[in-house]
Amino acid sequence: MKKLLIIGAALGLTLALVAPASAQGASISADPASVAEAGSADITVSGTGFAQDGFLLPCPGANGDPAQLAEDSCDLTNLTPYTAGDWSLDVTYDVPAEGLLIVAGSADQTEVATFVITIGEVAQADEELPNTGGNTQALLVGAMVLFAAAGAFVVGGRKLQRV
Amino acid sequence: MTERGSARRRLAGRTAIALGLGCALAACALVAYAAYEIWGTNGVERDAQADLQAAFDAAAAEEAAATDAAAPRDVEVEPAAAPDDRPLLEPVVDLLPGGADPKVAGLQFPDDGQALARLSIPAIDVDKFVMRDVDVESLRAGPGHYGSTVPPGFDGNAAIAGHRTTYGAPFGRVDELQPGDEVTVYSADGLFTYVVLDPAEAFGDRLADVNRVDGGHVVVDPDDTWVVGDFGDARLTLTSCHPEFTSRDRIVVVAELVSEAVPWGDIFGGKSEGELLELVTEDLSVLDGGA
Repeated sequence: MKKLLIIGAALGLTLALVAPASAQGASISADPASVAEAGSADITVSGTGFAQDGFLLPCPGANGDPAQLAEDSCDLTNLTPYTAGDWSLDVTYDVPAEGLLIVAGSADQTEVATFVITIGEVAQADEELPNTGGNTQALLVGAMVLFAAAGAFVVGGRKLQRV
Repeated sequence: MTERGSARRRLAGRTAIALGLGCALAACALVAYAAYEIWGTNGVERDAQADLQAAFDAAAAEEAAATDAAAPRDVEVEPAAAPDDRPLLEPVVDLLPGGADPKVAGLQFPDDGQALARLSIPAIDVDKFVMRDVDVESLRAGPGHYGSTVPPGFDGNAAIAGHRTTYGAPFGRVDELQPGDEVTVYSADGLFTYVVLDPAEAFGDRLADVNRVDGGHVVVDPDDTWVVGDFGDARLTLTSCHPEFTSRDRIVVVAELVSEAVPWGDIFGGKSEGELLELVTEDLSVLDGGA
């Protein structure tokens, strides 16, 4: 009984240590993330946190949008296999004008990660989180400075006129 | 003092007073513009959201009318004998995640429409239509979806930005969100429920990279775009400016998808791993043969 408890505790500890790593989830990134124009492009795709073996493939039919991923979106003649863990693959894909959705996933699709190669300059939003705050505080500080200056000028001007 | 000297002083005095009045006018203009930013711009967002609401309601009414028209009227139909194991009323449509009707949702959020989704955060009284982008114009009409992130309901990070002040300030009270608060998103892909995460859980090791943690949010620099990157889960990230009335930093709240996610389309055409590997081998052999 004691042995069973010890084995159980050891197993629990092992699972507790392993769980956070597998809970990280799989993700992919691509370099370059954006190409200047539609056409063939050499891309390095890096995957991290993959728990299962799988395949990397381009999905030009999805128009660069994961929401449009359908049965015939992906190019099954352009499969690149990868093994579980972290990996990096050099691939050459045709990037359509709408952008290219790249998918990495296990055959049973229980583990899927996506990345979209965009066309043209990287959007402003990708370089900086959008400005949603306005500049009201700066405007009011500027107004206070101007009011103070106005007061100083008027008081000074009146003094000069009185003399 | 000579006559000439006092004339010069009077002129200098008049000039100073004129400059002062100029400064006062400029200050008034700045205050007026600040007041317009705080209150005047709200009308822009209110009108845009009202238009989106009208289109949303019209789409629902259109679908209801179509359903009415399709239903048989004033016809007495003898109920057909149904086998015992078959329900009389069978579902005619496969519902989207969250029980949403795909026909209605598709009409309410068409691909070419301005709005991508409807965002509801009861804890801070938010009920807004979400625009499809985060450019300046879109954000004036309401919160906007980062086009570089997955749509809400998908595995991955669906990110939405919204004004903290000005233009209706949809995310004006985003700092009040606490872990456990509910966020729902309704789109053409379904109805999704998210729950605000504790920042430590949301960011893990990367929590060390944020400027400040408070309640359900973190504060980061404007160029900390990693917060809208993929964390290997299904999450919703809300971003806005911080502190209020400035754009110095960004406030970020992360919520985790707790309802059914959008299932991925059939990427591999139903092929098994073995069949897929054969495809790869075939391709390689063709290349080998051709070399």
